Amino acid sequence: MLDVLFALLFDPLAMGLCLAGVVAGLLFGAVPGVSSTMALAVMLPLTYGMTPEHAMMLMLGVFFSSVYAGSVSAILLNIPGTPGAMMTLLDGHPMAQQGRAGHAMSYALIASIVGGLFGWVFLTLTAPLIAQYALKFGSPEYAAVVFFGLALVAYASSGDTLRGVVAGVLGLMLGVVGRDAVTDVPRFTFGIPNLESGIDIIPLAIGLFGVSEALAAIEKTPPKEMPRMVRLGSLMPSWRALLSEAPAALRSSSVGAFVGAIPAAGSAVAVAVAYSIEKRLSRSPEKFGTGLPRGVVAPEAANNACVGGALIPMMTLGIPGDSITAVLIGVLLLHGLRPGPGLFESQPDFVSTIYIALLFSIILTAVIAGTIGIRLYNRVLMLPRRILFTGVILLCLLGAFAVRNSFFDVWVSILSGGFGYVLVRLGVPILPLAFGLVLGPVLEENLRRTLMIHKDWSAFFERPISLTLIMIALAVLFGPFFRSLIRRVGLRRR
Amino acid sequence: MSQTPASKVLASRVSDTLPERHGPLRDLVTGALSVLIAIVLGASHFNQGGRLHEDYGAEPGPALLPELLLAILGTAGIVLIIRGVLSKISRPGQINGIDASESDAPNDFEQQSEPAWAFLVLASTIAFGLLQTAFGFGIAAAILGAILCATLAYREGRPILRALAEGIVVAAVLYGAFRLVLSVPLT
Repeated sequence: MLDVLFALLFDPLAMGLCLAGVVAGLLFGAVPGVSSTMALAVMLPLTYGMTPEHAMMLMLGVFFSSVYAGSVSAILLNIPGTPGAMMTLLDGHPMAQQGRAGHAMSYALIASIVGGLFGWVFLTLTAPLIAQYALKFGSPEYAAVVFFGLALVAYASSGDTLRGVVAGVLGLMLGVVGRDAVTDVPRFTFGIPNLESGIDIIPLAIGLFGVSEALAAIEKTPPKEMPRMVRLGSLMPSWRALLSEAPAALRSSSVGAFVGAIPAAGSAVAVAVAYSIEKRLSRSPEKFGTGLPRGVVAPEAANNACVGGALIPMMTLGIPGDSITAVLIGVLLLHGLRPGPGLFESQPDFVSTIYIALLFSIILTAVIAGTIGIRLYNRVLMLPRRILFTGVILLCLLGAFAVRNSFFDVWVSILSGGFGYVLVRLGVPILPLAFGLVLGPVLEENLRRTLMIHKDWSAFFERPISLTLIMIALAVLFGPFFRSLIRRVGLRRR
Repeated sequence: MSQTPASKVLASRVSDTLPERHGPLRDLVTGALSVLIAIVLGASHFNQGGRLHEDYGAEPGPALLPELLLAILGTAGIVLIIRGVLSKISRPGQINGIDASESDAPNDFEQQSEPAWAFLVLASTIAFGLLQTAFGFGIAAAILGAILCATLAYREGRPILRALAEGIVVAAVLYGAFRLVLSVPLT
């Protein structure tokens, strides 16, 4: 890994791209209505002409810094910039109202860096072990892993499980559009030549996570008044105050890294768990929600530790940990790389590049946000919505074209953006749709291979790993139905 | 124990046990849409000639996964319709045992939404797709930028003429960046 570290360190373009990614992520993540996923979707087409290594330096820079920056609008405006910052505002904004916005932002930054580093260590220690184990998987296990991942994402996404299943199936159907890889037979192409090569993940991701999220933000009534500048007060809390928060930061980081590694669990769950643990452990839980630094430290450490955790299923099993890693998988596929245990065997240097890129992103976020970011954020938040969303939508359309210089991709982005927005209005989560598209070809390949080798479906139930994964997935999918049935029976008896 | 706004939102994200505004209507529409998609795609799939439905021997063939997915989509759609109908008729005043008026109350986190504006922006974006074939990417982007910026400025109560100019500048900057810096062959 050291040779990769030095190669990247002395590559000015790689370091410049990482820096640009960090700056872009700090700006995008801070603005309410622009999620980390949207930031990555918008930046994705820019990676087309880059080497995979340079692309990861840029994208991981955007990923980590935008996750941290979500805390900025939570603290200054009482609006979470990203879902992971939902708990930060509970104590962060009261601190700002008390004239301690600078302290709150410093606590958030330091906790984010501690969480990020903890997640990075967790990633580098556990990913190779899981990949080594996953290399022993046969096609039944792979098919079961994909089914398990899709079941988790259908369950954990907003909306409800059944609507999540519908979205996942629609995504899988989009994944089978085009000519079949084995028999070359066209499926769902409707005679359109551009569909014969299948629907590309990148314009679809730009549409789903860029255009549709922008539309969902535009429908919200704009605030009557422009946000006012918040007085930051002093920036650095005392060393003693900082050290007293260290145990909470480490506890929350471990929660974040672990929860982040569970496919689809995501940062929103991690921050809620970390916050409630700290509240329960506190001697004065009633002070949470009134401007307590620990209420900022716990969710921010957990949120950023999730970044390393979410990369584990993506790198080791090829399953996205969340919507952001689904876009990252798009980057890898764009460069001809398929994430999964094979990556550790065939491209060990590239795996090291991902580790190093994340480490550099954490360090650069600390430096940039710590030196100039916190002071500038008040001005960033003054950016008018009309300019912001006009820029985002145009960037999505230009970016979709830039991937393959194809107008067809622009249409895919527009239509998937519109379809994604309609799904959002119907309470159907769009994340399983993206998961389905990414995982559809993997599921089909392994399903067909299993049935060809083992002749029937029993292979899935005779092998312990696939059996366990399928049973858990079925429990996750049907659990809510039986729970609701039991509750209704209980209500009737009463 | 009362829930904080964030934990309320979070709880609704991680669990499907909490009431949801317009849940039965959403179930009905989503279910109907799923069944419609399954029927349309199913008709196209089963009417397709050629080698799609041939017997490939030991290999399950290219029709296996699409047929499985069509069956799941159709079934899920029917279950959603049944759930929506049952929720509508069994307890008109309640959703999941909780008073509908309570579930309809927007939580402290939600801003009011006006979907018509989003559909207007979407329509402008579709118009962009048509305009770019007639006028090229640059002019179409400038028109879209101006329309988007003016629409959003109108909602914010800001001067529209200035917003038109701002939209054209944003489009010009992005077009220039892609064309000149990234060398994307935009027409």
